[in-house]
Amino acid sequence: MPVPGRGPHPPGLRGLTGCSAADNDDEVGIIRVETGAGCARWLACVLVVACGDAGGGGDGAAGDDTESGGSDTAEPTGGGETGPCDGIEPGDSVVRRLNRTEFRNTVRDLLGYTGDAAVGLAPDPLSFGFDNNAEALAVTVPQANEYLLTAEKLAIWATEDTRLAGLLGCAEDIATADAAAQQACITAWLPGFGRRAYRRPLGAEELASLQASYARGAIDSFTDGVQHVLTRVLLSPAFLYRVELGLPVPEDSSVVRLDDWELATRLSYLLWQGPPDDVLLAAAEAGALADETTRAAEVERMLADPRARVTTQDYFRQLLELDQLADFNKAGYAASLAPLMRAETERFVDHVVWEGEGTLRELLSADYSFLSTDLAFVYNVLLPEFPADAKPGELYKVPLDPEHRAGLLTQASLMSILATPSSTRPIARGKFVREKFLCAPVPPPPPGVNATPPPPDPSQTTREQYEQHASDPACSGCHATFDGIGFAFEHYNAVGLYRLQDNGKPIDASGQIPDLDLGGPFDGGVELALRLADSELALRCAATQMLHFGYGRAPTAADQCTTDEVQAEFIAADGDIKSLLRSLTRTEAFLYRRAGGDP
Amino acid sequence: MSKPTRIQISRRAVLRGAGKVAVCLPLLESMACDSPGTTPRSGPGGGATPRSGSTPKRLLVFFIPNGTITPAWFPTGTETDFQLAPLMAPLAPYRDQMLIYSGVDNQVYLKGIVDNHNEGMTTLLTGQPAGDLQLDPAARTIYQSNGISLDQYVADAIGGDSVMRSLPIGYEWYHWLYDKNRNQIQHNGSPSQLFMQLFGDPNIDPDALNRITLRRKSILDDVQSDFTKLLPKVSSNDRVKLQEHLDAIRTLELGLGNTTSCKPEMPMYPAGYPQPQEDPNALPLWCEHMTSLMALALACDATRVGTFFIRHGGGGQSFFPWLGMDIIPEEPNLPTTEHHAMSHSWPTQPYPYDNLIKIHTWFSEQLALLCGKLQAQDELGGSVLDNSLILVCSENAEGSHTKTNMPFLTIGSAGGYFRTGRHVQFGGVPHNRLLLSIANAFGLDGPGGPDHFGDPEFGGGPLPGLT
Repeated sequence: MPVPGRGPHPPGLRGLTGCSAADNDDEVGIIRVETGAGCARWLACVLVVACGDAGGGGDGAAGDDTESGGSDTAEPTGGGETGPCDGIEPGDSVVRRLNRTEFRNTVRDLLGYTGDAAVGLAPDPLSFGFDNNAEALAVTVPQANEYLLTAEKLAIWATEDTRLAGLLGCAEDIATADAAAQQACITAWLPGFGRRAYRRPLGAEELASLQASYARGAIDSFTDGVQHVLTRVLLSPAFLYRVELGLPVPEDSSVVRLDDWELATRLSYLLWQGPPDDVLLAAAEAGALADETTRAAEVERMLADPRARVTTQDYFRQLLELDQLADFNKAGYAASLAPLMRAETERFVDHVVWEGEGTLRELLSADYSFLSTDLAFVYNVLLPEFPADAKPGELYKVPLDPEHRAGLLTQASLMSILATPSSTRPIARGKFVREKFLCAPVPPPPPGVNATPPPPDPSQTTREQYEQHASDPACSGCHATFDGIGFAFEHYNAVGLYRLQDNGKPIDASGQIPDLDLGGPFDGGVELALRLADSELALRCAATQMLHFGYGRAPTAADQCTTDEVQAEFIAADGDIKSLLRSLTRTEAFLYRRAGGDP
Repeated sequence: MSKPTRIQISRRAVLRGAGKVAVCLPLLESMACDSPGTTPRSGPGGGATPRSGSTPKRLLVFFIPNGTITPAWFPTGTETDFQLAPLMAPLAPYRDQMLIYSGVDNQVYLKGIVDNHNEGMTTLLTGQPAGDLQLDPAARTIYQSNGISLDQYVADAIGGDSVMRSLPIGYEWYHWLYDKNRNQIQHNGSPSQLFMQLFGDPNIDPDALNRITLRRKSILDDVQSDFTKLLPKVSSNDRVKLQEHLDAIRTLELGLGNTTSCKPEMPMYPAGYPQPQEDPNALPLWCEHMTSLMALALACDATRVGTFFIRHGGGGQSFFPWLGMDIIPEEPNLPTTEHHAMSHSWPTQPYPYDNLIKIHTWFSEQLALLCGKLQAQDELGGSVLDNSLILVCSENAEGSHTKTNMPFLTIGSAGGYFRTGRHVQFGGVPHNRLLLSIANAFGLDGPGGPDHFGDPEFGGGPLPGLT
């Protein structure tokens, strides 16, 4: 539920009972939830933090203190001023284990394995929606077993008769050659293979150790020897983790700078979710990546590579929770619509970022999409809008009615995910937009709150059925901050079809959010989306989300300077997403890390 | 109530089977260790009795989602002369081995992140708040624990020589089991994979298996040396993470080649177990297979600690069509047969009551199924059930997320440690103390000392009067 934000998360309620009314503060709003018969049994203060201004949230202690944090202890504005961001501020990081996606890609590039190398590995834990959080990725005993079985399987595959010679770069008959020839083959093969596997050159001792592995396995057969080496390499920390030792920084012993190999690895996993290619490795070997112009050129080359598009696709899949379309179940609509909706959103995002305007604004405001003919009815698009030879299941760029559609938020995928089988879920929609696009999470209802809806009344609209959220003061404090966003999308039914009425009554899609600056009241999803498209809040949040995904960590107080910088650059770049990716390769957080702890 | 974590729901896809219709299969009773065709059970050391010199105690945890129906769960009568309530009717044969608890609360959950559902899971077996207190608040999530779960804690102590130090079984994944590094432990959902993990691949002969084991140990030795050489070079927080991985490899290697002398024949399991929307009989069939496999694993001493998880609580698509309930999805203000939604609607609305009773009775029946299979396995000291302790629990007391008077139940005396056959009533004690009592039954203090299990604020020693 919580998402990366720049302030404290809703603390456990026990920690809140001592809080006091806020000073009038732009950054932090405190909403007092009164006891009431209907919604709550607790007197509590709930902190709602607005993304927006720099600084604030510096207390970071709301989770375990008895006093509420926030207004009393908020830091003065951090980013952009002298003081806190002067030195090298890389933030806190921990060594990153390859997640399943990265593992799959790495094995593909290393061995040419095109199957799903990660099929036997446990799902990655999610942190704020992303599956690459360094802190969360760990290895338990059962997982160690999974890696063992996976590595064995891959080693057997890679050394199959038809592949063995190609893997080693040796003669076709190497498996039956004499021992001397086989040893020569291994000796020639190991350094290059090791360099690609560990993403850096191997030392003499390491090579000797791999030779010993080979020798142990070769007692049985040549192939066994190679399998022994391969299995070991695929289980070793230098393969499974992106180990970063860094080089000393004379002016500042609290940080180290990443060496060329480590930079190459950071670049490739950031932009490709995979290992450095030969060009990058060569640049690292030549020591060229220390130069920022060379790095920037590499970044351009990598952005132009198709793998960068796959990475951004994966990012949006996670941000928008598109996997939930697998649970698509709508009364009166075919299940076959779900993959079409997913394909639409994927194609749309890919087009905007890589072929179109490339901006957040475009993502949130575009008046076109990529539809298959089967999906056209959801958007009230008539068949003549499609090419005459349009094939079912294929996607075509079609214009949409700008009165009714604006970018991602009004797409069928999101509207469907955020709906029940036959009705909308405005509360969920409001929460989703706040969390994903405004980085302003919603606190939970107090425990024990009676959330039972009243008996059904088919003469009411969905909005009217949630009337108690607005009229009951025990509910309205919190619900006012997100219900209105969800109601704005009431014109879009459970599959995103635009409608004027709900249960026979006209829809009221107006709203206003008291704690965030969205430019005042709004009416309808399009107006809201267009407001977001140009809002500083949404820009800052988009930068934060990408930072989280790119660096594999929820930005914390220690990342304040980095977050401010990346947000500022993103705003200055008018919300250009490729620029955001470029920014992520230039921060101190990317180029340095904390020197850490005594050995 | 909104789905607590839409993210997790998609994990169903991980365990979704191939969608084939389940084949009618022989039950595993015929695969018991002392039936013809298998060798008699013996301990991992090869002797007739396990290493401790007495019959090993086992710990099981059985999970029921979405709390309970309070008036149908708690008994009436006195401590020793009590009448079982309807939801415990299927468990009547095990009444004398029960301890039914009233007045035990989850209190620690309020100290951490609360979102009205998930903290119930994270805190249940750990006795710790949800949300890693060692992390910056901005990085805390409700799936992070601050301590080890009871099953993993006991497994670390008694599971060392077993083929599997612990056996977490689950039809779907959920976040409630945490190892000593506070990492989530996944469930095993596939009976066929699990069978092979416990008893080996039937297609590999013992000599070949021995060679494979030696080779694996050799490779893992090499890998461990790679870790050991790296550790001094990295930063201290990197070292913690890498050390955890190294520890896992070490534990894995030590366990390699642990076998049980049971050699049961592997049943013909189906390729997968579809969701009830596709095949209403899939889940009951899975329960049948997995309860048998769990009982076999315990009887053969292939493991001594297990957890059994069928469905998670909270929002989702938890339907029970095989109980005669058509699938009616959740809609605002309309009757539904979705478990979680119904657990919230009742008692404000009366319609869900009968269906909730059906559902919770079914869970009791699965528990009874497991108990029966454990009781059917004779060993020193009586039966496997006699030597076991089954903790039955839920993430909430009732569907409304209340956490006072939680439905805790234990079955089995842990080899005579507990004085069973009673309904013990407390006045609102933290459930940490029950966790501690169970740890004590296995000869252990709490992870932090003798006074508490989990968060030290909820200490006071084990619950009185259980032994």
